[in-house]
Amino acid sequence: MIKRKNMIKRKNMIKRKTWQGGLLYISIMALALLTLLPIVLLVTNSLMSGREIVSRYSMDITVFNVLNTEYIKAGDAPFHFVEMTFLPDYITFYQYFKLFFKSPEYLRLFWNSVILCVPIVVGQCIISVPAAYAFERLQWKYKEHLFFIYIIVMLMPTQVLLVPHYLLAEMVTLPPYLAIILPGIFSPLGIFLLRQQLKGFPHECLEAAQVDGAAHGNILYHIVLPNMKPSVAVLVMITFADYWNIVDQAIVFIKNVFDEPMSIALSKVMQNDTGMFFAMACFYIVPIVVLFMACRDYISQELSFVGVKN
Amino acid sequence: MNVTIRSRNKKKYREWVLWLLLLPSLMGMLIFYLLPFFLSMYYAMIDNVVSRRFVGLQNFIDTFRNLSFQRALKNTAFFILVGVPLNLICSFIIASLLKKMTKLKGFFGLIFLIPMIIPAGAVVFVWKSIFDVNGILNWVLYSVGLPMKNWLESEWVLGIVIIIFLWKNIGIGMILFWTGLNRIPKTYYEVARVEGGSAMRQFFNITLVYIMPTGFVAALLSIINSFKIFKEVFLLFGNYPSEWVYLLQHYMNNQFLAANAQKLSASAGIISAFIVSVLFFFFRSQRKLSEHFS
Amino acid sequence: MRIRKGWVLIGIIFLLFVVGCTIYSRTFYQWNLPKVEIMAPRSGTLLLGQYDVRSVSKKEEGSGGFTHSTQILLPLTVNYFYVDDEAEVTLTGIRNSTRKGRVTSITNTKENLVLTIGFHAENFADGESVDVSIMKETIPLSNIMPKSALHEDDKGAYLFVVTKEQGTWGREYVVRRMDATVWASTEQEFSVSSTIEYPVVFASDSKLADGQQVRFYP
Repeated sequence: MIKRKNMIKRKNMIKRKTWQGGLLYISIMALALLTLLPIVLLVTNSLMSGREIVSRYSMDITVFNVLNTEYIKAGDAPFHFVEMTFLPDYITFYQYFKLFFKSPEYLRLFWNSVILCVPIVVGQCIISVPAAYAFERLQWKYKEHLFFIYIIVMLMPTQVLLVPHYLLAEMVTLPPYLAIILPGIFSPLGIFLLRQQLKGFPHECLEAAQVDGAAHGNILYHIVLPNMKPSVAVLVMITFADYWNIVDQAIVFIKNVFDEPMSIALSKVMQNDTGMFFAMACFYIVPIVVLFMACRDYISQELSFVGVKN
Repeated sequence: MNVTIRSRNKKKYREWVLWLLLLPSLMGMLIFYLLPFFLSMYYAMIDNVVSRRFVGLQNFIDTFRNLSFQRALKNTAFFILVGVPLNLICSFIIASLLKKMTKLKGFFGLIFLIPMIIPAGAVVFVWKSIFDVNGILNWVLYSVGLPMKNWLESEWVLGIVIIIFLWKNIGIGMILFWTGLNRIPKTYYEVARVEGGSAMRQFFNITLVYIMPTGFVAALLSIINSFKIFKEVFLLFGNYPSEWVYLLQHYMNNQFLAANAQKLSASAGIISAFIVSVLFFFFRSQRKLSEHFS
Repeated sequence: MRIRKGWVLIGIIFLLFVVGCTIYSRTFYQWNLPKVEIMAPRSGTLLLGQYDVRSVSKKEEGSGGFTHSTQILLPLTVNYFYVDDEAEVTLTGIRNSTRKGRVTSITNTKENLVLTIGFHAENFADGESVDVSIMKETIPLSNIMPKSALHEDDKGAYLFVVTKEQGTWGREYVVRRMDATVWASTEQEFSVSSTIEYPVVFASDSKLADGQQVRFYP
């Protein structure tokens, strides 16, 4: 009797488990879809023609969307709701064609962003790797205090750090791009990340190499660097994502409309030339998504490290 | 004796090499971050570029008395105090849900990370389409029969900004919590089950305690990222938003445009002092709580 | 745990594609811009009309103090001659007999404009054949352009001028529409009332629009 009750209980538990499991999958799937919704929208809407985009998303009532207007209150002017959709009326690649072959100004915006990001990423790597190694191996009384200053600077919001940069740029009259690139290269985020990775490195190994007669440079290049590859990849990824998306510094320093990076120029395109917006936004997110996909193993690994070692 | 002298020289030489490796970063830090900071403090203490009279703390007091600064402070504080805990709770829930799944974990983790890297400028249009006067939200309300509202100008704007913040930042909290949850040894749970504890007690005594350090890191990262929400807000609302969404960064941005170096430095000084004290309190409480729980 | 090579390849292909598009936009796109020919407006006078008419002279006293007069017929559309305009009168066939005459009156018939020109002649008989040469010029103007520079649409008459503006890849040449009110015109040229500081487009190989980037004939 007891055995049968146990069996029934276990069967019920299994049924409940699979029922719960199914619910779990469905809820996670729904959440994931919700998270990806804006991006999928971007991609599919970029295949619409410009006329369709304008007629769907604008408040003006034109001959193309007059059938989709509502009258909110009797006697009011007709009101047009945004018709967001995932399937265009007819699919056309004209927006991409116009973007790549007929609009040199948008191409230039892309290169502006690239010119802003690449020196910063490269400079960060060049500067942070030796500095993190030096922090780790240095024996100095005030090393941790210095590092604490670095951490404080790292945790400040961008706007607060912008004020000293702005004053410096005014005093020395730096060209706008340099005023963004130079402070970005020396940002302490890289040193922090790389040092976290180095903390787990066995010191005895390094000291053995040192006793064997290797100079610091050699140690750095041959032993430490290959093992720091995940950290460096994550640093590249995070810095690139940060500066590809730059907004605060660009508003303050860059005055010329043609010199703006794509992050702020996109909102201007949204108002002036709405048809091109989706194609340009897709064009804009491709580099960062490609970089993310290329380094994604390293990212999950590195984030777990950061969580543990703090 | 000779050997020791030589090795000591070599050691000194090696020390110098290490300092040389550190030099570029130190120089850059000094020139671009620390020295300009003192320069800005100097600017904060004078009253005018022309006369350069020393006025001490007058600029700071003026900034505190400024109504827009107070409004910005209120809005930013509300946003952080509501947004960050909400973010932590949501990412914790999703991480624990994800942990129960057996397959496709990595895939879903990746999907939740993607909003973090998508630049703000690309999705701003989507948010605008949803929450604008003629947007999707209003359309749904209209179809159902409820009254519509201009959400982007009303007092619910901060709620919308919190939604955008959640969308963007759930990924990173989720990954942190997920690895943190994975590190709690399963034996603890089994011990608790054997000892007859209900699921609720399990959660409170085991999970919450051991997730604490990860929780602190996630909270720290959330606070840092909550300042970055200014990007979306600026691209959505421009330079002069409504008073319900006027953040500290808007205040500073307006000072930039007015090129008023004194007020700028004063507000930067106040905000940095504020943040330093918050961080200090944060680290102190983390240390105390971890001592208390272990 | 490695960098996924497939995605790196995709990234490199994408980058090369954008580089290619940029190169295209710097070369082919530039070569395919509309070509224009420009000129600076010239200073001078517009010759409104010149007429050489053979007519018969009449001997008459009075009428403005002239001894002879002759009448010439001009089309009704000619409207720029006034009384006291100068004309040259030559006895037909006889060189060195040119003398200055003056318009004494202008009347209309149903088909023609009749100009009466009075002149002094001591040795002319009545009824002699004379060649009258009369022309009208404007005052010296500073912006005279060929008629091909003038365009019209429903908002009025306008010109295209070429300005140097800050463009995508540096400074580029852009045509801008400039509204113009025609002050005087002949059949080939015209002049406007405002001064023009920029070079004017008088020929292009395709239809132009305001704000379009152009290039010049090499």
